[in-house]
Amino acid sequence: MKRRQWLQIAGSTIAALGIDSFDLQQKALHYGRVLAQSTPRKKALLVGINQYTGVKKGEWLPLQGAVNDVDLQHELLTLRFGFHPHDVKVLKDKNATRANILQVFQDHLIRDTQPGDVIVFHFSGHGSNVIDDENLHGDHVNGTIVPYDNELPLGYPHVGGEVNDITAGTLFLLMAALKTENVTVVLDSCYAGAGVRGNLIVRSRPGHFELRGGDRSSKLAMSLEEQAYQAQWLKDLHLPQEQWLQLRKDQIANGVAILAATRNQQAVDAVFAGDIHSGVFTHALTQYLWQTTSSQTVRTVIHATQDKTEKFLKTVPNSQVQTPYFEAKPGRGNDEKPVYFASFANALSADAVITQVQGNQVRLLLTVDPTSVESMGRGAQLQLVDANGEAQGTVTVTSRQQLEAVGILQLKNSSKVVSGSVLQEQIRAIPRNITLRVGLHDSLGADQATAKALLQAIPQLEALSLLQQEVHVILGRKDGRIGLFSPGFDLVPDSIGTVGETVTDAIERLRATFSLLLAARILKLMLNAPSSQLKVSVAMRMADSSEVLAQSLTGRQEGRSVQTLPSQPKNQIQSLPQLKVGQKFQLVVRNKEAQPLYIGVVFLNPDGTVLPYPIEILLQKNEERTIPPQAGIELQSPLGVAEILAIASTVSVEKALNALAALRNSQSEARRGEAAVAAVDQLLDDLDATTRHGKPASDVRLVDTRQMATLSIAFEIVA
Amino acid sequence: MMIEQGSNPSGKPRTDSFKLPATADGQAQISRNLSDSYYWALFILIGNGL
Repeated sequence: MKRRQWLQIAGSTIAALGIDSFDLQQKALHYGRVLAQSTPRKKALLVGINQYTGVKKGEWLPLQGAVNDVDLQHELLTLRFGFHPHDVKVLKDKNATRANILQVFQDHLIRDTQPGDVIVFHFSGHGSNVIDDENLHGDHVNGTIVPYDNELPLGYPHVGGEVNDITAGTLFLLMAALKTENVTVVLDSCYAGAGVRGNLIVRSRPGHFELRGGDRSSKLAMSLEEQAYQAQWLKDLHLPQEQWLQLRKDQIANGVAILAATRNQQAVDAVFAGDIHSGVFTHALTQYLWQTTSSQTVRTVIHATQDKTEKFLKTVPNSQVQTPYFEAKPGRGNDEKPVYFASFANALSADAVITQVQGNQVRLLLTVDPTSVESMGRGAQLQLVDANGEAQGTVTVTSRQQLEAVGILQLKNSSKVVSGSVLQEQIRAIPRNITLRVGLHDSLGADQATAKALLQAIPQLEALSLLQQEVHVILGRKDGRIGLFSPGFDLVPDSIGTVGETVTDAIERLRATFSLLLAARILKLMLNAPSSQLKVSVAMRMADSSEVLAQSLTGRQEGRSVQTLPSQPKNQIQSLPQLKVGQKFQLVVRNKEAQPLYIGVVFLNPDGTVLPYPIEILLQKNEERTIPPQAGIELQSPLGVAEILAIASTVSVEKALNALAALRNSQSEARRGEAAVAAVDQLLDDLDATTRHGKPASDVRLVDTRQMATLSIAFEIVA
Repeated sequence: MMIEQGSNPSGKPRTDSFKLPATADGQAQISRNLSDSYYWALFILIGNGL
């Protein structure tokens, strides 16, 4: 965060524009006018580029989630923040040429904009870098965003040349030209590190940094057209070139800039819930803003987004994560203003939102956590809630495709249903045919076909090529040894074999691990803390200490949403809690229901496998219990990110534990894996039976938010 | 330019990072019928030598 960011643009736009900025009184008056304005316009330009004209030469890859990002942002701005659809312009793929992006920015965002208007510019696509002869940031490059019509020069990476990227200097000028301070620029791209990581694609095109010519004088530079464009803006803004350069060293030009990753990190394009591609950052940002109940400050939102991004990408210590952050123009209090400088149209936590109504048929956008999307398909039930959180009706989902679902609406009375009406989860439908998706890495070489055949023969397991669908784990080779890797291609602890091990032996060796990963995958489909209505909480603390390290509680206690954010340190990137090997912890589970609850606890190891706590705990109403009551659970290697799941249920989970207990004398690791899957299956069957009240079972298992809560605490085990 | 990155290999059999106490719970704080699994389900998980 200390490092200068590439978007660091301007000292004082106001000064740069020749307007009085020193006169605080005048400023106050100006703000008064802004606040008095009843309807400031809210305008946005959203750019998403998957396909590029220049990728065919092979130095860089198309993306898969950038266009989706724009759709997510579009739904959020129109349905959540009340932007008028006519005021949100979208440029995708071939429409997102350099000329178009600049033209629409000028015509739609800059022209006719008044003080107080709200402006959002979002870019999802590749970023890159070009030489900076002025060396403003000490590393001789300028960050850029890459338009659709973009080609690397002939002979790249051995020789340089010019590219038609839109550079940071231009973005500075465009932001400065906006006659409002309520400006947010969101960039889900990064400027270096082009390539692939496991099942993730890095959102950057090779640039000046990545030149490999022997000749040191080789440069990749911005186009002459870009230079001329900047010169024109400098003239129009009456901004001397020297002042512009000086300003860019210090800070951004205007408003707030939200960036997907810090300068030395990579922003990645990922896939989740099977087949949904998006930027890890954009998805985390938009999903958080749907889940939260009121418009929060940009600081709070980015903090929460960091947390989500980290949980998605972090698998082992030192694994590569990306840390979204924001830059605010200083002295304006922008960091404490609501994100996007706008308030919510509807201040309710949303698991889905209605996008279209036709008779009793409704179309929904799912806004739940990525791990819950697969449980929101056919059979799931959501409750329509009014502005006070009161139930007005029920939607039963009939089908789902990616984040879009179709359902049948049953209204309690003649309530009004409109686009943007909020739905909250009531019953989730967990498919029976859940599979563990194993990606096959190119490093397997000629063994790929054998590996695929062997893996496909294992029940509930799919073997898949990378960069197409979501995979939960990757089978690959490192230094001649076969092992498992995370989707971001970090080695899964203790999964690596010996040199010379055949792929057949490796898969046999890893069979128990696959089962334990499958059990964990199914359990994670139960995670419903934000939507569960059971009043229950779990906290983690060091044994013999009262200090709470982390806690999780359900989100909809008494119909209201609960804020679960930890306190936020200023200007500091918060990480997962860290515990050392040898440290002992205890859990404190509290039942705030007026009825008894059964509690089961499951640990998820850093390699993603499950370890169930063998005892079911019955908590009476308003009872609190420490688990284990004495001593504590000691941590040991393997190191990495671990998770604790606490399942609270109105029905006993005893049968599930019996499924495990039946195998307690077995010394076979493979049988332990099978037992774990059987136990999880039993647990879901029991919950399903309770939810159905005697109705026949189907190919989905139903879990009611009023009957079950699964809470999660993630932390990192370090040496 | 297509660089794959990841962490370094280690190399030993799979273990759990959580060492559950051998007698996972003391009995004093239990508010539950003695006949149920809370008491008899104290088993050792397979294979981790605890």
